[in-house]
Amino acid sequence: MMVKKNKVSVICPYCGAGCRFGLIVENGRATGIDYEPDHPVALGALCPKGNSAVELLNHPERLTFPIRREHNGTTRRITWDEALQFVANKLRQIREDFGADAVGFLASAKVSNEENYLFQKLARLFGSPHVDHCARLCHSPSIVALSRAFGSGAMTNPIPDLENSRCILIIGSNFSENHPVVSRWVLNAKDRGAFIIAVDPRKTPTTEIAHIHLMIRPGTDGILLNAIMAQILREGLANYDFIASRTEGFERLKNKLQQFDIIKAAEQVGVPVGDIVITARKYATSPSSAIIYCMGITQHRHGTDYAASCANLALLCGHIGRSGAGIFPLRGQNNVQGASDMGALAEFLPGYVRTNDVKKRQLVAKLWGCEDIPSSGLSVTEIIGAILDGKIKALFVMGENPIVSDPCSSETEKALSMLDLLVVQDIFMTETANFAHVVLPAAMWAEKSGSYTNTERRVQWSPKALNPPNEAKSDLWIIGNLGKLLGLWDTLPQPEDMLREINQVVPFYGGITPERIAKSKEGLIWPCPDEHHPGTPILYSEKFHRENERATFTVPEIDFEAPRSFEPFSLITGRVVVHYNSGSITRKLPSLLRYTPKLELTIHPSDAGELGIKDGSTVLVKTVKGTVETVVKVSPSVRQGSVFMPFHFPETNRLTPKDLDPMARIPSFKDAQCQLIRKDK
Amino acid sequence: MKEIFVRIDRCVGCRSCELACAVEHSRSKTLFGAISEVPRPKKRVYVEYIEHRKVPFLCRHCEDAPCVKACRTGALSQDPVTRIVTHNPDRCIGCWLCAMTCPYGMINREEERRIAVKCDRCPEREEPACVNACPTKALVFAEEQEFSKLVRRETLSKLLPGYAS
Amino acid sequence: MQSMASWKIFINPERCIGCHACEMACEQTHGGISNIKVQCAPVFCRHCEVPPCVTVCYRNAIEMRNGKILLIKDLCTNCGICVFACPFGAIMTTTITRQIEPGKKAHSAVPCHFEARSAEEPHTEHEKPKRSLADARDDTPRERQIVLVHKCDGCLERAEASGARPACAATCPSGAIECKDIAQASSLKRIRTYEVHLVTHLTHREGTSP
Repeated sequence: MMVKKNKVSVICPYCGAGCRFGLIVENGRATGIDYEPDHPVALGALCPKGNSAVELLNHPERLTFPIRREHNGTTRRITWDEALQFVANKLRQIREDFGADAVGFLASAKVSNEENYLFQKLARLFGSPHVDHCARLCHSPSIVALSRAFGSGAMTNPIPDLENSRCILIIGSNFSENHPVVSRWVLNAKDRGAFIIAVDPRKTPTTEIAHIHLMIRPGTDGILLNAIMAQILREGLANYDFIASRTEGFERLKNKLQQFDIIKAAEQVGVPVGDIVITARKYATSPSSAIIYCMGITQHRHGTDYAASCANLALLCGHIGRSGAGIFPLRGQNNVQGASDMGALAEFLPGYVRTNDVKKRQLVAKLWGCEDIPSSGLSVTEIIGAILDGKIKALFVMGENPIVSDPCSSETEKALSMLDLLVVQDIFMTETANFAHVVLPAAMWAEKSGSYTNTERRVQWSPKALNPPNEAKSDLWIIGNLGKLLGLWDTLPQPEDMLREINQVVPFYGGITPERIAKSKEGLIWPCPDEHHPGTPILYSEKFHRENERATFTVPEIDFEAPRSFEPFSLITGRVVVHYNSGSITRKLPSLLRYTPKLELTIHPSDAGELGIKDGSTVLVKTVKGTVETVVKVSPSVRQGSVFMPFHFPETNRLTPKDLDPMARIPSFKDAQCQLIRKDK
Repeated sequence: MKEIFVRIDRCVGCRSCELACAVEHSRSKTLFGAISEVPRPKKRVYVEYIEHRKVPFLCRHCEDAPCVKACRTGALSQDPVTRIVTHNPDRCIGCWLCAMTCPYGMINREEERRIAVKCDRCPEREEPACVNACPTKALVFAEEQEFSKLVRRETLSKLLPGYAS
Repeated sequence: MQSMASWKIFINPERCIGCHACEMACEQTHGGISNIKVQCAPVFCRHCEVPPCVTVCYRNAIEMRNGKILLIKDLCTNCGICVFACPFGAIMTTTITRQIEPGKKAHSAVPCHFEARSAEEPHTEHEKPKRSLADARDDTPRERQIVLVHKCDGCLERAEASGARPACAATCPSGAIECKDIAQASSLKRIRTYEVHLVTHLTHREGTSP
C-alpha cells in the first residue's frame, strides 16, 4: 500500500516565541514531528506544548460541523448555508433594531494575520466600533506605555540577541515555563558572564536562573522600579549623553525620583536595600543591559505605569537601540502581536492608526472603498459590562474563551446568557461555546495557510499541511463568506491575496509579501516597508518612532506612599509550563494533562501551618467575586501571605477582580486578595 | 599544601608542560619510548590558543570537587589532607559525568580503555612534571603564602622606581 | 558528527527548566514509552564505555554499537538485573499489557531450554502438565501485564539513517541536553573559563583593555 508521506514546516500554534517544526503527514493525517535546527529562535527545539501538536491535530472532540443551539438548550447539526444565513440575518436585524454598535466582535490571538485583518474589516464595514481581543488582558499596557514612550509598542530586539546582553533584568516574567526557548538565550548570556536579576513574588524555574532574586511583596513593582532609577541617579550612573541627545521629558521624572527614599522603598517592597543597589549598579554600568517583562508587570491596576517605568529605566541608562540592549515584553500567543498589528483592537485600526484620528482613519477607509470607519469602541472587558447594561445585544467570538480568560466569570456568564445572539467560532466546544446560539467549526493552524507574527515582530508563513476534518473550515473561509452574505464584499479572498492587501494598508508590513516569506525559514521582522527591505531586527538604533524622533520619559501616577496591602492573602494567578491560557486546548491533551491534571493552590508552609491546612487537602478560596474549591500544595515558592493559582482551570477566574487599569483597560488579575477556608470546617 | 599557580602572561605556548605530563604518565618515562607505547600516554594539562594568548589550564584539585561528587563508582576520590583528587582506572565505567560537571574542562578520554584521565599531581615526583618543564616559569609550585609574596615583590619592583627621587 | 562513536549526550543540569519536553519527544519516537525521567534534571542512559549493565546481563541482551549501549528486545527477558546494576537508575521499568496471540504460549519468542509454565499449571516436577483438547484449540485473545525493562538507545537508528540528533537533544528548549564530543566540549569549557574569568584578570595586571 502506498503511504503518502509528507513533511510540512509549520509554525507552532502555542506561544509567542514562534518556533518552527516539521509536521509529518501520512495519508492526510498528522503522525509525527521533525525538529528543524535551522530556525533562529528555537534552533529546532520545542517545548512540551509544541510536542503535543500531533495529539492536538488528531483530537476526537474536534468540532466538525456547524451547530445550532435552541433556547431550551437542545443542539442540532445544521449546514453551513443555514448557519451563515442565520448569523447574517440576525446581525442585520439587530443592527436595524438597535444599531451596529449593539454588536461586539472578539478577534483571536491565535488565527492568522489574514484572518484577523478580514475579521476587523468585517466588523468595521458592518458598522461596529467594538472590535477587540485578548491582548487587552495581557499586554495592552505595553502597547499603550511603549507607544507613548518610543512610538511603537513592540519588543525592541530579537530573542537570540539576549545572549549579547551583559546584564538581564527579568521582572514579572516566568519565561522558563511560558516561553521556554527564551531560557537558552538568557543562559547563553549567563555563560558568557552576564549578571542575571529576577524580580518576582514567587520562586519559579526562571528565578532559579538568576544570580539574585528579588522576591518582592505583590503589587510593589512600581516602587521597586522607581527605587532602582532613584539609586542610579544618586550614584551618577545615568547615561546623560543619551538622555540629552535622544530623549525628552527627563527633568520632570528626575524631580519625582529625587524625592525617593530608597530605604523606605526597600521596606515597602520587602527586599534588602543591598539587592536594590546591586541591581541598580549592574543594570546601569553594564555595556548592554536588557529588561524582560511580562504579566507580572502588566496585569495590575497600574499596569501601564509599571510598563512605562520599565521604559524609563531603559532610557535612563541608554540601554536601547543596540545589540544586547532593549526591552523585551514577551507577547504570549502565537499571533497576538499580529492581531494587534492588524488592528483587532478597540482603539486601533490596522497599522496602529488611531480610530479617533479622523484624517488617518479616512485614508484607510479609502483603501477599503468606503467613506469612513467607526471611531473607538469598547474593549473586551468593557463589552461584558455593556452587555449587562443592555447596550450590546450580539457578540461574535472567534477563537477566544472569555468565560475562562476574563476576570469574574460569573459576570461573563450572566452577560453571555443575556445576548440575543452569541456566535462562537472555535475548534472545540469550549466553556464559552456552551452558551452560543451558533457554533461554527474552525480549522486548526496546520489545516490552513497564513502568516503569524511572533513576539519579536517576526512575520512567518505557516503553510497548510493537511485538510480540516469533515466540515470544519478555515476562519478566512468563514469570515469571507459571512462578509459576502452581509454584502460587504464580492469575492472570497485567499490567504496570499489578503496578505497583499495588508502590504498596502499597513506600511510597516509593506515589504512582507507572500512570495518573500513563504520561502523563508526565519520570516521577516517588521518594520519592512518595501520589497527590498531586509526587515528591522533591532528598533530605535537611529531614531525613535515618535514625531520628533526622540523618546519620552513619562512620570507615573503611582502613589509611592501607600502600597496596596492584600488581606488576608494576596492571590496571584498565572501559568504552568504544560498548560496554555484558558486550558481549552491543553486540558484535552492527556500527554500534557498528566503532568498537571488538576487545579492546585500553592501556599507557604507557615501560612498552611497556621491555618491547619495539609498538603493535598481541599480548601475553599473566597473573594468578593466568588468561592471555589481547590486542592492545596504547600511550598515555600510563594511568599508568606501570598497564594498562587494557575488560571488554566475555569475555577480561577471566578475569583478575580474586574478593576481595570484606566489607560490600557486591563483587568488587575494580579491585584486580587482572598480568604482561605478549610473544607472540613 | 603546595599548589600549582599559573602566570598566564608568561606562557609562550611551547607546550613543554603537555609533553612532560604525557611522558611522566608513560611506562618508559622517556619521550622516545612514550611515542610508541600502547596505550598512548595522555596529557592531563592543556594549553589553549585563544586569540593572541596562550593559556595553560591545569586541574585545580578543587576544595569541594564537583567531579568527585558526580562520580557514582568511587573512581574519583579526594585525599582529605592533601586535597588531591585521584582517579582509579579500575573503577571507572566511562560514564563521563565528571567531564560534564568539571567547570574547567579538565577531564580527558583514554581511547584504548575508554575511561577518563586527569591530573594526579605527579605523586611519584617532588615537583610536578609540568612545573619542572616550563621554561618561562609560568607554572609555579608553591604554598599560597609564598606565591602571594612573589606577586607582592613583583608589584613593588614596578611601583618603587616611581618613588625614586 | 565526525565519528558517531565519539559523541556523547551531555546533560547540563543547571539549564534544565523542568518542562518535560524531552520525555515527550522520547516517548513519541519510541512507541509511546519514554526512556527519560525528569527529576530536577533529565536522567537517562549515560552510554558508559565500560558498562555495568552489559557485564551483568546473563543473556548478552545489551551490546555496544557505535559508542551507544543498546538493549536488544528479542533477547531480553525483562529480568531487571541491569536495572539494579545501573548506578544512575537510567534503566527503567514500565508496566505494559502484552497481547498473546491465540493458541500461542504466554511467554513469547524467547528461545529457552525449559518450557514456560502458566500460573494454573502444577509446580511439581513429576506431574506432567495436563492439557485438554480444549486448551489446544483455545483461540481467545489473551492479555498479560508485564514489566517492560527499557532504556535510552541514543536514538542510534535515527542517527545512522539520517544523521539526526537524539530526539531529546533536538527538542530541549534550554540546551540542557546536547550532543557533543568529550574532547571538544572540554576544550570549549577551557576557552569559556578564560573568556569569562581570566581575561579581566590578565588585563588588570597588564593595564590593557580586552
